[in-house]
Amino acid sequence: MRLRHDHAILILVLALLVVGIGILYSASYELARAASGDGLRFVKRQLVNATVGLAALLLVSQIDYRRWRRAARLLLLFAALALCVVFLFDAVRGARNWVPFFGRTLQPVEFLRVALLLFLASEIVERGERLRSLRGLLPLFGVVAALVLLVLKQNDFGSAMALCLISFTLLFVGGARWRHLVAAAFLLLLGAMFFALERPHVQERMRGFLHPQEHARSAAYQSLQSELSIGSGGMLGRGLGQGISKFGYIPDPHTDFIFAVMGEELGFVGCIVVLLLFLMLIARAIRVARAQEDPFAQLIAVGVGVAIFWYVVINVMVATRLFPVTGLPLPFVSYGGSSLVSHLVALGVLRNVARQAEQTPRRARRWPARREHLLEGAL
Amino acid sequence: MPRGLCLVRIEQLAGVVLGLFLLLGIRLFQLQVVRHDRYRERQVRQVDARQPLPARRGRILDRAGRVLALDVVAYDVSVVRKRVRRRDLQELASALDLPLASVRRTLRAGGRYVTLGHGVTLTPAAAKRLAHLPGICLDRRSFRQYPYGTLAAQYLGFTDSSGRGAEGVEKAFDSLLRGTPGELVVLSDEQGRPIGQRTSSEPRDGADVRLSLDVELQRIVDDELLRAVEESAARGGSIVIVDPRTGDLLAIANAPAPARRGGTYDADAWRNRAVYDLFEPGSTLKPVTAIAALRHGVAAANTHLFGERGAMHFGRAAQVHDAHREGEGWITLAQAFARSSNICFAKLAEQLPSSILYEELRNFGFGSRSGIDLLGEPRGQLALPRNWSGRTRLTLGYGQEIGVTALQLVGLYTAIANGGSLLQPRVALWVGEEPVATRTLRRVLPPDLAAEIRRFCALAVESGTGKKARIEGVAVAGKTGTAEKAMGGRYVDRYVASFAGLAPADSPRLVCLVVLDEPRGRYHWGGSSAAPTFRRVLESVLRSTNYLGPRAERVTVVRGAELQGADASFASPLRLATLGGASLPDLRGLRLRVASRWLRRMGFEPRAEGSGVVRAQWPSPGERLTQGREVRLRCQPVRAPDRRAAMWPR
Repeated sequence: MRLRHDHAILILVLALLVVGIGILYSASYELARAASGDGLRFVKRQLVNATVGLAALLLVSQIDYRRWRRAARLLLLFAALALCVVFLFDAVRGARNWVPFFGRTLQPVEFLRVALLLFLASEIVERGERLRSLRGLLPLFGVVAALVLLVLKQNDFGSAMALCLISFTLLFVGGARWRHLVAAAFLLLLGAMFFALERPHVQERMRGFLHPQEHARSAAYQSLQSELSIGSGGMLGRGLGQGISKFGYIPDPHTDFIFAVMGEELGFVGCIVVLLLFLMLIARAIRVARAQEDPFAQLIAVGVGVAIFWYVVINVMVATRLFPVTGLPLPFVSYGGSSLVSHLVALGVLRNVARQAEQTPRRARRWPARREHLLEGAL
Repeated sequence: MPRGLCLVRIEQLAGVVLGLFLLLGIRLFQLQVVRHDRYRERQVRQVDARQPLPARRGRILDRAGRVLALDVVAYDVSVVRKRVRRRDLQELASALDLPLASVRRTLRAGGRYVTLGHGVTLTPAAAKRLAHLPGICLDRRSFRQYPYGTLAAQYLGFTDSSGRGAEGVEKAFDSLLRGTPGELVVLSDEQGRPIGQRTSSEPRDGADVRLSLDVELQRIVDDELLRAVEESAARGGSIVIVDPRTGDLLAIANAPAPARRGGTYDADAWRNRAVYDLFEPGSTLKPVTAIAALRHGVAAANTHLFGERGAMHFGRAAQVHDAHREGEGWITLAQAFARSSNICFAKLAEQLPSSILYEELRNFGFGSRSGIDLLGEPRGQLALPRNWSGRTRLTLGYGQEIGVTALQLVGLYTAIANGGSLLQPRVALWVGEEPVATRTLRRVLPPDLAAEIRRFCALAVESGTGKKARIEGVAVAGKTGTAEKAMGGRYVDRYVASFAGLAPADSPRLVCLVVLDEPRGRYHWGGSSAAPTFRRVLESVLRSTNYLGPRAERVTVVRGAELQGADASFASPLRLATLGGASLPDLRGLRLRVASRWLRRMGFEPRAEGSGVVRAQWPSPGERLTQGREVRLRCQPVRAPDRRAAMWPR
């Protein structure tokens, strides 16, 4: 019997959460003990986050995904406003991308990602063929660019990049022309360069990435230590909890560099298993998209999967020093309520899409079935 | 319903996803499998902190097991001013043995981190308590302590700031005393704090070295040398006592001596002259000529020699004078020895072939190292016969034109005393659990010849130049020496006075050599400065030790602690004569005030030099005195046992 998509998604997410909590326990214990005396502080909070997130997931998966189409613009507006609220709290410290929320903190950018995803999906469906013209595409670019600038204003370079990548992927899947996308990407790179010129810390990270040995004690320290930590794990790792790097050698072992702790403690085999879990989850999302007829559903499915995909890829590439340091969390594993809950909510939407797909009878639609479409796309 | 999206792009996206995951997999394989060893090694280098576990340096003991040098754990006590609590200051002050006000003052004057005490000794419990108080830092370290202070300081030597032997016994036995430090390998976090232990090897403590030295004898020779050097205004001097049966070095004193340990390093005061300094011995070397003459039939003990009335020309080679102006007429060889006639001995040497005289000197170890377990001992100076001038053979006959160390000269008398065995001086009796055997270098004399020379020596004390060495209660034998010092190629009017003696004369148990460098005026004769010093040493030995028969009964031992007001902090036990007799008690180590009170009560008159604690006294302990006689007490200010002795040189 085939496993239903929505069940498979739930199982994969639960598996990732279990692994994630385990790693988090190991990675954050010493840090939390040193900071607050309670070694389980982060684990406890993450359990609460996971509970809230899973509840949200189950709730959202009951909501018909089509209803998001109408709500998408409102949601995006709301998320953008929330993002602006950050600036109200920005008076004291320079780089801050969170707002206080019932005694905890909230990162609006994580929810913005979900809202943007729904917004783009609905807009792409709305525009249909018009997406292939510049007039149809430009407003979307404009919205994305505005939001990205807002995020950049908070010094959150990683999130901005992730938002760009997710938007591009959605527009690509939605059928935007290659040349438009390439041109936009070019403009984006140019913008990024200007941005980097303005922000010394971005330049520093780039230099650290390009010439690690010269900056081993400064800019490249994080990524070299992370690489060292992963490399020292070997085939089977030191064993959960047995890592050394988390004792101050790698910064943020419980958030952005949690993969380094995982690499050291679980080794090559453990890392591959976790990456396979992610791959299976993303593959499920793509399969849901393929199984769907409704382009909005397809775009949502692709978008949810792609969001996880880019976060995972960038995070792991940073940890293995294939990419300059950008502070992105590893979904479901890194400590952080906003990230966890937002991804779980997105998966809730995906589950609803998947369930709808189960309910509509499957048509035999194999890969060459729409050859004319392939030609169209290539042109 | 629109017809759905372009599936190709979804497939392309799937391709990108797969491709990037593949890339991640390959990268992980590269890091974790291919290059794993390199990363693991680098990580180990990064997180392993090696902490040496210092080994305790072995103690140095005297032959009776009294501790001459030991390692004491002490602490440098420092305070982080901001973190220390006001209420802990009282406890800190009492642990440091300082008034609270002075601790406060030091803290006010200092910066953020103030060191209040160096090398503070604390009980383990106090150290543990202090270490747990906030803002108080204890730095644990080992300090070398010498409970007897400067006793035999040049011989024992000292350790440098890193705890290694730098001179003397400390240096010579360093590899045994030092032990092997252990190592603790700990995992440390990025700030260097330990997070776990990987491996450790226990330190192996250094071995104790038990010397042949006897503190009792050493104190006697220290005092008497000081007195002799002062009386005769000599530049320096040495006294060595050796047990002729075993070669044990029982005492070895040198003057000038360092006033205290841990001061600035004065190379002159710290030189162990008895081992390292060469001098021309003069008449104390005459036994060699006598032995050579007797052995080769040039003369017998009763052969008559003509003393030439005090001056003689040996052709163009040299003119030899006797020391005593009137000179000698016809005398026997024994008398010539006893009266130390240079002319007679020059005549004997003239009759001996150069090679025989040379071989005889070499036979007794002159011109080669004695083999003592100290580093850098000189061979001495003895020219090859082919380099001798016409004069050399004659002057060698009475001990000039040769450079010897006091230790070499002691070797000669040791062989005479023990019936003919040349022994290697024994420094250590035990090293750790290993006994050190006496080493006989070779037999150099037949016993009857040795006995003959002993008779000569006894005659010298009885009726010759060494009369002032005579003591009541035991027959001693010995030979005086008054050597002219050569400076810039010619003999100048400066002398080295020496006396080498054996006691008791018939079966010697001690060989004692006294050498005084440039004594002045009437003291420049060996017979008038070195011989009396020998006598005083032997008298003290007779009175207060068992070396020359049972200890004289009038001296009983009274421990210092039994005296009220005694300076109990000074580590040495104190001896006092009984109060009933009129013999002088051992007052050394007592505060001047206490010592004076005791003396007055016994009817003696104290005369103090300096203040503080009595370090030396004259007459020496146990001497019988008439009431009302004056007793000189030489004192030094009280110092706490020097805690920084191990940090030498500063």
